[in-house]
Amino acid sequence: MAISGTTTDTSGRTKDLLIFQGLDATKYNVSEPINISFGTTSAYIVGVQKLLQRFTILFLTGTGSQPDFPAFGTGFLPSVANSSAGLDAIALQHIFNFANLKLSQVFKDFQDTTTLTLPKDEQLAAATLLDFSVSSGNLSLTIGITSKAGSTVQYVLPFPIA
Amino acid sequence: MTIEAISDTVTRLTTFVTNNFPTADITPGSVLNELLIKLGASLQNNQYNEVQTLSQGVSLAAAEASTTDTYNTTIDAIASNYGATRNLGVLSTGVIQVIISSNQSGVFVPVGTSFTQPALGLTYVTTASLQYSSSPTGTALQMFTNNGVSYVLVPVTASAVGSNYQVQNQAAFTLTSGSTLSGFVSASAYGNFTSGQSKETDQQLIARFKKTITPGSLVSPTAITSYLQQQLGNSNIVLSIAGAGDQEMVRSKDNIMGISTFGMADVYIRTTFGRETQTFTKQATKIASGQWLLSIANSDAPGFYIVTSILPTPVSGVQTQTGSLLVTNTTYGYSAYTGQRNNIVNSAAEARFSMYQTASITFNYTESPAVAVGASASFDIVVSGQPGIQEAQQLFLNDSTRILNADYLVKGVVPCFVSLNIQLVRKHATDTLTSIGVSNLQQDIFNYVNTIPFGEALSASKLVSICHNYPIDRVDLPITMNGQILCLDSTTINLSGSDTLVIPTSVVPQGVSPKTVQFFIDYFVANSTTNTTNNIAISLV
Repeated sequence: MAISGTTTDTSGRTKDLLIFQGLDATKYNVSEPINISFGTTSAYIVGVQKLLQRFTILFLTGTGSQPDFPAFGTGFLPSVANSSAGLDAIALQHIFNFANLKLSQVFKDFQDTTTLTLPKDEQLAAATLLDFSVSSGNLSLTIGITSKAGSTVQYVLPFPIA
Repeated sequence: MTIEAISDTVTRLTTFVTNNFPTADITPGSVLNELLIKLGASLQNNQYNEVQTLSQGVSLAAAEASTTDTYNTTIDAIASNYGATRNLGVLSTGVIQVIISSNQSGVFVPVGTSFTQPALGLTYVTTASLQYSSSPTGTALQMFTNNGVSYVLVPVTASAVGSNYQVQNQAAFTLTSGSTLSGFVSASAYGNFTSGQSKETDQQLIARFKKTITPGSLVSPTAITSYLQQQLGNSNIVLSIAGAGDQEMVRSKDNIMGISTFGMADVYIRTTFGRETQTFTKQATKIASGQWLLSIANSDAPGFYIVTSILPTPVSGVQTQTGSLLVTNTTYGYSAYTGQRNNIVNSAAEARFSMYQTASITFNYTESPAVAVGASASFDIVVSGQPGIQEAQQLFLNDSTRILNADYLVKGVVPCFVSLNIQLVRKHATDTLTSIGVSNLQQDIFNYVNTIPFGEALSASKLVSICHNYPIDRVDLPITMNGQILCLDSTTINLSGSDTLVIPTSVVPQGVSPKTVQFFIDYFVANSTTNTTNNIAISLV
């Protein structure tokens, strides 16, 4: 995962909890699989790591799965789970695009209307599906996130679909 | 009481966290937002609103001052001390005529089959599985045919309580999405649906049990209203009483001197929002070629307003007529009940809309094969009116409840049937009747007109005010309002206006005054045997 500009300087930034374990900010031009957990040692995150964490939480939450917040999330996981005919590249790209469109609007609306001062590397500019693979009941997505700071990071998001 | 929306709770918690922990990221999708803000909001929202609700029960004054409808169990407990229990509402019921493909000899209607009135968006369901057959055996029901058209009569119940669920005869229905019926062609209301009732609010319950504290349960209009509501289990009941000294009280002057004898009161009662229909079978006698006569006894449909249809009783499920046979004459009369106490009634006009009313009806019918003059045949009669007239009257005649020195005659209110034509101006070029919520607007107008108190006019400005609860630019004036009063002497008075509809005073012989008349409006009016038009006509320009 190429997380250029990753910083441990949290001054002037708001902090979130790290739940994307396994990322190594020293590795560039490779996609790294992530493991979603709090980890053995709690940590704060800021910057682009926080951005992709927020993006992924929204991306993987099924619309309607939170009774009090039925509009939160996307239809990505439910659509993938209901793809009885099997997944192909075209179908998956469409499913991703629909989810991505909604997320882009959610992020844009928030970024445009919030009274908070958001650092550029914590604002979403674009997200793309770079690659995917299906094996042994697991789907792995390679997602690219571009922040308004201009840098693009990519990460591998594996999850079971069987 | 202000109910806090979940978004308001989120804002409250977000503000708290931001103020106290300014470095915590609680933007949408952040871990802290998901784990702290959302979960906290879900928990706190219920608790906050529960506390708000309970606070309304601290005092009756707080509940009465509430600007929203509340249903607090504490008020139930207080009401129980006065023998009053909350009316939980009543589901409107009715019958839907379902046209079935003529190539079917039967049809099965499963429980839960749902029908929707498309213009109003109201849904109704079957509460039992029903089997229909052209040759029914066992528990199967009759499937009818009429000039080659097959149909079944399906009893349904509204999907929710409320008086707005009362639709009228011939109102169109569709199968609700998800419901299927083999051979389904079309569906429409078969007679008016019953008037449902909304769940009684805290304010209504408090008002009712306060009235019961008044000593003497049948001596004042408010106490009588409360008593009847409680005894008949109907919180829709409203009434007006014409008694000694009132110009509307003409019954007490039916003596040789024409002087009021006192001790009499006429109770004009309204038990439902709209009119209900009642169907019963009577024998009629052929009095001439193509002419038949039937008599409606006092107990057949006590206090009915009008006969809406007469049809020969189907034989083996076969109906040969459509719509209604032509009624050529209706003469109202009156008769007392034998073996019981009766009110003093001296004329058909005095008995009109009371349980003493009778009627003789002459109508045209050319039977096949022809029968001799003097022969009789069976006919199905549909009348419209208000239920509960006889039950209310009996409470005033009952030995244990009546007022010993008084004669209270219960009548249905004199009805003024209203139709409206309202033109709205759209706010955006893309607005449609559906997008502005016209079905809910029609229901709001239905509720307003049918609950106008005695003595008040139907006001165009209040209709405009209701319309402005919806996303429109403005109401295009004038609003066309028409009314027709069905008088006690069987004549009618037509009203029209664009500002107000005011009930005139014409006591003798028509029995019309603001004290005796109430407005009624239906969603639809039948303009032929198969079609209806909107009685609350709303257009968008």
